[in-house]
Amino acid sequence: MRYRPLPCSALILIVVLALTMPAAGQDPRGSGDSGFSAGLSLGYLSRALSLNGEEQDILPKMTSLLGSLILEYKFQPGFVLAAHIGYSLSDFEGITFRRLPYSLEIDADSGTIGGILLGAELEKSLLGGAALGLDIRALFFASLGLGKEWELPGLAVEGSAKGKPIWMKASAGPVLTYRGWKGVAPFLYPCFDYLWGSFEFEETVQELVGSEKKDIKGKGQFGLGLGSDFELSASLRFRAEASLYPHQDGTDYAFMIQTLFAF
Amino acid sequence: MTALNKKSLIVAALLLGLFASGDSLQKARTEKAPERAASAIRRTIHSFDGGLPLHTKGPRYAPGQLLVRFKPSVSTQFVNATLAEYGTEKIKRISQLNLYQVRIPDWASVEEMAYAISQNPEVLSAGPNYAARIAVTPNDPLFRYQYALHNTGQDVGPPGSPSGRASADIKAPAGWEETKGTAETVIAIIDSGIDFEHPDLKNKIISPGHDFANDDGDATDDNGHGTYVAGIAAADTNNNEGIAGVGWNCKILPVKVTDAEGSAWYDDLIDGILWAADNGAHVINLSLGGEESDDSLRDALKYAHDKGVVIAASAGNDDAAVFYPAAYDAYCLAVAATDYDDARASYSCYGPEVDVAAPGEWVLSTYPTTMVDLNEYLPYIWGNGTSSSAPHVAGLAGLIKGLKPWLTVDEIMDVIRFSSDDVNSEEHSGKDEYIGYGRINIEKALVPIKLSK
Repeated sequence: MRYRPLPCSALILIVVLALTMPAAGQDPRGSGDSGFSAGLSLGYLSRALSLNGEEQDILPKMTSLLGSLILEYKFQPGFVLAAHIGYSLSDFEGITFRRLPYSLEIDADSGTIGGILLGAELEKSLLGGAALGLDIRALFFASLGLGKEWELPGLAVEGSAKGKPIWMKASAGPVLTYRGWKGVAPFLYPCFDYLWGSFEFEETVQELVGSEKKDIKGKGQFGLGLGSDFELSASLRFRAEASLYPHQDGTDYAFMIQTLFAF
Repeated sequence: MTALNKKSLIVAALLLGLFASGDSLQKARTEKAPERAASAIRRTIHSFDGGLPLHTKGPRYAPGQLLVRFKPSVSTQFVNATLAEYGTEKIKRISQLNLYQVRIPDWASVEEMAYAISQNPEVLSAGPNYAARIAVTPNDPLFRYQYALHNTGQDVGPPGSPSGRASADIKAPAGWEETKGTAETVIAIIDSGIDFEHPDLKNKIISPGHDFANDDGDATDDNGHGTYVAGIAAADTNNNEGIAGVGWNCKILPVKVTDAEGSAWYDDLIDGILWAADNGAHVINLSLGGEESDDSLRDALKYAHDKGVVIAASAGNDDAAVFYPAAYDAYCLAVAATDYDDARASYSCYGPEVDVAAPGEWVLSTYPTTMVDLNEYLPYIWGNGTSSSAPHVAGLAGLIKGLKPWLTVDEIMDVIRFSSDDVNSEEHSGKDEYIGYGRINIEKALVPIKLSK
């Protein structure tokens, strides 16, 4: 995977800022002072892709269903760190691999590719106390594709191709939260968002073998999330969030719901 | 190489006339149709239209548009209200079907909006406004006779000739949608030379080549066979003239090794192969061969192979063992002949060395302008034999070489082999001695394979 200086630097900056700023006022995640929470997260994202400037017949796209277990630790009021582990089901379309001996095309009929989902989430209050709070948030997800194998139809001999996508998504930005209502805290999350990764294919037709790796990148690098935290009880929280990612060819979107139980 | 004693065995160019079969190119000229009427095309055929429009790549469907079909009972007012509800804008109505072409908002994708609208119970269907295209069809007026490239079931020759069977072809138009090759790819035609003035070849020939039969630098064709073979491999295509060549944009390097009777000594053949490999050939076509093996001939093939040259060689027309050099399996593709019905040609040589087959019956191609009365005939001719088959494969090799220059010779040979259609699978399933892996299929070799779950 190629080194991506921009998102990595942004993430490092956010983490440093979050760790060095003093915790303030209200907690972005619940009311306890510190401790563990655990829960579930379900998400869906649909993103248009660019392939290193390669022209494709149709706009390449990725959709992914994400499910993960969350383990969250609150270090102090207003400062939480969460880890995700789960599974992703990703669909790709509009990607053609032309450097293989037999070119291959992935489209809507090509099926879903599973992957291990790992993620980390950091949230820290910057300004609080009033009804309007300002937090800072950084998210990172990685889907490590487990690979999928297809038979190559129509050839005079048997052949197969194995595809393995790996993608990562990092976002960071301020969270503007309204905390004036009891139990409900709607928020706005304008963020820098970067999706990148690779898709590798290996083709084998008897002694004829080839491989091709394509770098993929999400179109658009800014997003706007709109969501709300619901405090259902002292120990049970729920979050729903929808995000839009505008780019030159349209607008992509993502949805996410989370529920967390504090120990 | 000059030290090599000339062998008494001559290499017979696979002019079918030189083989005993009655299906020779020459015989096509002299016997199959009296007074050449069947084999040369009359000038009067010039009234052909200019060919169909050229396909260009484009989007699969109209961006930002949907076709939405409502139930017949749904009123216009309801339709307008529904379309407005989804933020779409009506472009056109096709009243007979209650079908609406609509523009969707910028923020929505075609697929998602199609899905959303299709959930409406009053909507019969909603989907993209797909693009329809005419497949790549070159404007060469005689293309319609080239059943080998695109078989629609047409008559394969002049009136009275047999009709082909639809799809018994090498799928050239579909393959050309992916690539038409590049002008940097050079196909060497090692044969009887080439007519440099032929209107369908003159712009494709990259150099005067070399004449090993007469030891000079003028590879002008004095037999007709080389011109015929060159046209199949890479005639000037989409030039409103004559025929289309398989290697649409590929160039031709003429190498003359046979005399005017179509015979060559092995030393000249060896010289020709080595010279072509050293002078820029990416592909070599050898529509000739002899019955005797020769280590030097094999080594010449190996030399070219090791230099990255793909070699297509005719299997032979004697209904016997595969001829040399085609039989040097490791270094070239031995090509058998099929017909307009995808049946093996009865004369096609056979053996384990046969790799693939290509159409070899009633194949129309270029003929030297100096050998026909141009006032009466066009310089084209129908020919039969594995001589016609090999240049189809050479053309395909040229297309692959241009599209994927990083592939090795052996990989290109395998791509051609494994993408073939096993058209005799009912009698001989899998690779067999008669047509090898099958009749070549340009579409499968070039066009991306769609993966489905």
